[in-house]
Amino acid sequence: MLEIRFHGRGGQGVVTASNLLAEACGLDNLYSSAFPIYGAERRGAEIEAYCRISDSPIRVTSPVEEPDYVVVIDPSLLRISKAVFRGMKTTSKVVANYSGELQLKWRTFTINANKIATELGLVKSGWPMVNVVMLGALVRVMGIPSLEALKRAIEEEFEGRVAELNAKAVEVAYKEVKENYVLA
Amino acid sequence: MMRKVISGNQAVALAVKLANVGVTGIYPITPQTTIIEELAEMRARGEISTEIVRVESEHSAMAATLGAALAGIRAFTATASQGLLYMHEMVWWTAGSRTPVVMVVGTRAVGPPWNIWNEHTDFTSERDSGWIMAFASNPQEALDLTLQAFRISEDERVFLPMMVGMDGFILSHTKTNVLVPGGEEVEEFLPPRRQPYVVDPEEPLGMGNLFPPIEYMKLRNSIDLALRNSEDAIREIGRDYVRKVNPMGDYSSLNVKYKLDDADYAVVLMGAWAGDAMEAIDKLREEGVKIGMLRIRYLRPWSEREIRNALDGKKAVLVLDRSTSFGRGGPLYVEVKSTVADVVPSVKGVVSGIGGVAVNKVDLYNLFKKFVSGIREDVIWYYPEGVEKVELRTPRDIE
Repeated sequence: MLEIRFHGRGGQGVVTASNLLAEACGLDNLYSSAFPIYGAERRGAEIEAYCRISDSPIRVTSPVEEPDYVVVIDPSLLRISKAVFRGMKTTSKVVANYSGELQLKWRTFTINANKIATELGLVKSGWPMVNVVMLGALVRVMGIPSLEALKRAIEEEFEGRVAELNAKAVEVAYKEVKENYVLA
Repeated sequence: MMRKVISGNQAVALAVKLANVGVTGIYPITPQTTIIEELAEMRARGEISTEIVRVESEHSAMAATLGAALAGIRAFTATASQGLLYMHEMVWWTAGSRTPVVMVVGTRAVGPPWNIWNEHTDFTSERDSGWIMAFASNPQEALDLTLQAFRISEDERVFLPMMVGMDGFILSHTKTNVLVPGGEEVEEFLPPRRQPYVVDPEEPLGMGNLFPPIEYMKLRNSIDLALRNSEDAIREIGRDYVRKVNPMGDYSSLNVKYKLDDADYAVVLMGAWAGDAMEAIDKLREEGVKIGMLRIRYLRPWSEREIRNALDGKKAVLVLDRSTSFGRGGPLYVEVKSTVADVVPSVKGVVSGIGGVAVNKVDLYNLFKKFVSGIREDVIWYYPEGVEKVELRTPRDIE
């Protein structure tokens, strides 16, 4: 079983990202489950959501405390959040929305999702919508589900131009995500 | 059947659609609200013809639902927490009138202080109301039990309303794989509605008037008997559901055993945390501890026979309650102890996961380990690791 934890802020589509990933896995005949921690969320507040992927039915219903992958949707959380790296194993990996290179204790992959979203015009109420962009990078790093399944899940979730732009965005992120190597 | 990735609330809405519900009287409350939102969207798309009656409170939601049901229409509602408490009077009225109705409760803590997260106290508080009460442990079961609820409630051996509980957020908002049956399969399983009597404006009759004590007592007696006798009907309907609708399900018994038959130690619980408990049990089994689980799927009827048979001869039983019966631990603990006290030497109770406190497989593993090595107190309140145990206070102190 793979356990993924998404970190972002209210209004960035963190919950939608984990749901879309679970739906895409379903389309690839994998078992999956996705849920967030709900509270009195406000725009800008720290949010986390979880996704589990398995080739057998998933029994656990509690939050992900020892993630295999941590997805950082909002780069500012890398600096200020105590929650992002909790419970990480030595084998865990980080996929972050970040414009530069990150030097962390774990294998780390970065993608400038803000830039991709802004250039494509995926902007809502002044914020670049990077949630789906990050899925393109994550799917590349994990190797599952297929990019095709992800694009199908996007088409089912969104309509018209938004669906089109998001499908385009995951392709770009899929191609552009890169591993950050720690200098010896 | 179609495999979909949907939430517990979406699964319930699909069950309501498949059951061809005629009327739903409903009032929104977190975490149940997305059921009605889903139904409203289906109605807007023309997929269902269900009359959605929006009312001003949960008391009226049940009144409207009961009214439709009395008139011979298949009726559904859903609520949670304060909503269920506010509805309480009509919950009793519905059972007392022996009218088939189905309700889903997306369980949630009760205020004050305000809390939107999961626990089962709202649900378990209705255990004496005369309803059939089932509780799901995943979104698939929420769909399956909701569909079965219509047939159980409308079975002439039962003729009682039925509520289906599911953990708020943990199941209501978790998207996972659910097998969604097709209309034809459900049509074969679910016969047209039956009920003991129909109120028809063309043929007026007097009802609910002051009733002689002895006649009142006989009616109460008949509800008690109907609840006890519903066990056989529930098993039969469960087996038929597996045959006709979901061959992957197991509904041949009211309650569900996990690695229990050869176990020395048993844990008893209800709801979604059964998933994490199974993981904890597997780990303890690997370490050579013979432990198993009994998951209560039906709080009412309380199958004394199933529960005694399942727990008879165990060295010790640990009952986990995600709800409170103040001064007595939790309601499941009280029920289990009264059922097996003479065949199990030690029955202990644990109250945990209250007000949305997350209890995961590691916490349960630690708890079960503690249980196997012996708990002295009859009832403990268990805080997961990492929770700083502070001096208990009143809300006023905390403010």
